[in-house]
Amino acid sequence: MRRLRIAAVGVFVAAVTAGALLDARRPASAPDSLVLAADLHVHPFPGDGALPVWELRREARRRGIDVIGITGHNNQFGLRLDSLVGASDELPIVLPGQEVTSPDAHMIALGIDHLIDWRLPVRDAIAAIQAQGGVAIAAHPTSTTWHDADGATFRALDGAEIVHRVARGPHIALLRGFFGRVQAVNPDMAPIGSSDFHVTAPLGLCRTYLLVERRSAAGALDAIRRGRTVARDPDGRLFGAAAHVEAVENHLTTTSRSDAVSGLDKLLALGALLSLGALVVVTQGGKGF
Amino acid sequence: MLVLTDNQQVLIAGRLALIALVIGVSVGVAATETITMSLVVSGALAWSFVPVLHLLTGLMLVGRPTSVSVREGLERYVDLHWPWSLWILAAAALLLVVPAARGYAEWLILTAAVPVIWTVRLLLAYGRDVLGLPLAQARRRVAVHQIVTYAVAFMYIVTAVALWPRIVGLFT
Repeated sequence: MRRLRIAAVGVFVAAVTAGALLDARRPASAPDSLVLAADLHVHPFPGDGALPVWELRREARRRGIDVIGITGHNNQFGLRLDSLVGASDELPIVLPGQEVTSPDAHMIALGIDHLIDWRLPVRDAIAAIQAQGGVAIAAHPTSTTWHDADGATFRALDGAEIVHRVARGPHIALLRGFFGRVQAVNPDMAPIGSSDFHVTAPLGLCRTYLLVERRSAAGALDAIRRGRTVARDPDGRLFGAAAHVEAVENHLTTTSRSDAVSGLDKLLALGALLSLGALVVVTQGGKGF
Repeated sequence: MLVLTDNQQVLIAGRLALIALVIGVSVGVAATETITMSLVVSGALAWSFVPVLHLLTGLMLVGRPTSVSVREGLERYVDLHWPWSLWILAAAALLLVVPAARGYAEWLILTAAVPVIWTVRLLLAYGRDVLGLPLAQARRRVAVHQIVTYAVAFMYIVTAVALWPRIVGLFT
């Protein structure tokens, strides 16, 4: 038993050390471009997300993401914890936000300092977000998360998720249908692609390319406000104004950034899980019963 | 009064640290498909509130046993997390190896019925064999322990997902 325990600890330590070395060899910074890859709908820990904000930042770098929006459900616990441990200004850019989760709508608020009251009517919530200098994005707008809204609400929106990681089958048509209805009265609204990242990889599976004038949080928010965005679905298809899509296609052909982790990374992670499992069995498994 | 020897303190702390490590590493791997020192440390620290709650509910379950000392009872209790530990590790390994399963993570949660039931069986046996409780009392004690445990978990979820507005939304 003692030997097994030592072996399990040894494999675990070796896997973690090798994983850390592999991670350190990844490119440290994103290319200097005015097309930023963003995942604007990311849930942190504490909350229903898996990772604290500082780990989300590292994961974003691994996945070739330049901007992340931190969007707890009616809370900013993750952002507060991050500021307690010393938030970093290094890339990727972190946009403070909230997923305003109300009975009538789920809405991504980005670029806000203070929480938005979820009891506000949708139109007033959008006004409250924009009064803080933020942007309001309809989150996975299907019939269950977005009840009927009027033209004034549609005109006030800064963006809507047109692609989303859980959108499969009929949900894809629902998102596109909603986007089309809003676009009819608000033609400059930004198309947004989000992973709605909680626990399961990968961050940035769906993403938004922001055509910015400045590589900064203000520049990212401005691009959304002006509708200068292109959404990308898991299959790599792009959605947005033709000129914007062309600019992003040009950017993608001239840059080579990996957004996938290697097979060796996964093997080491599996080794860590299996060695921990062995350690649990050796130290606790079947104790007494 | 609860007094632990140095050796028992180390043993219990080690078992609790292992639980935090299991949760932190599993969650980190599921989220990133990688393993790094930073993920291990961040994950274990972030989720360390779970073993702390496990210990607190354990103190409630152990109470004032007659057949063993409180410290021995506690030492044996912290070993009973293994069904959940193995389930968490297995779920993370599945999500890592079979990416297609990620779209159906909600269904994976249904398999948690296995550690739920197994833990109840272990706790009942623990109540009778280790704490020396009569069956009826062991059942009552385990029922209260499980209710408190799931109530705490439920409160966390209610806050984390903003459950109340969603419920209101169902009826409006």
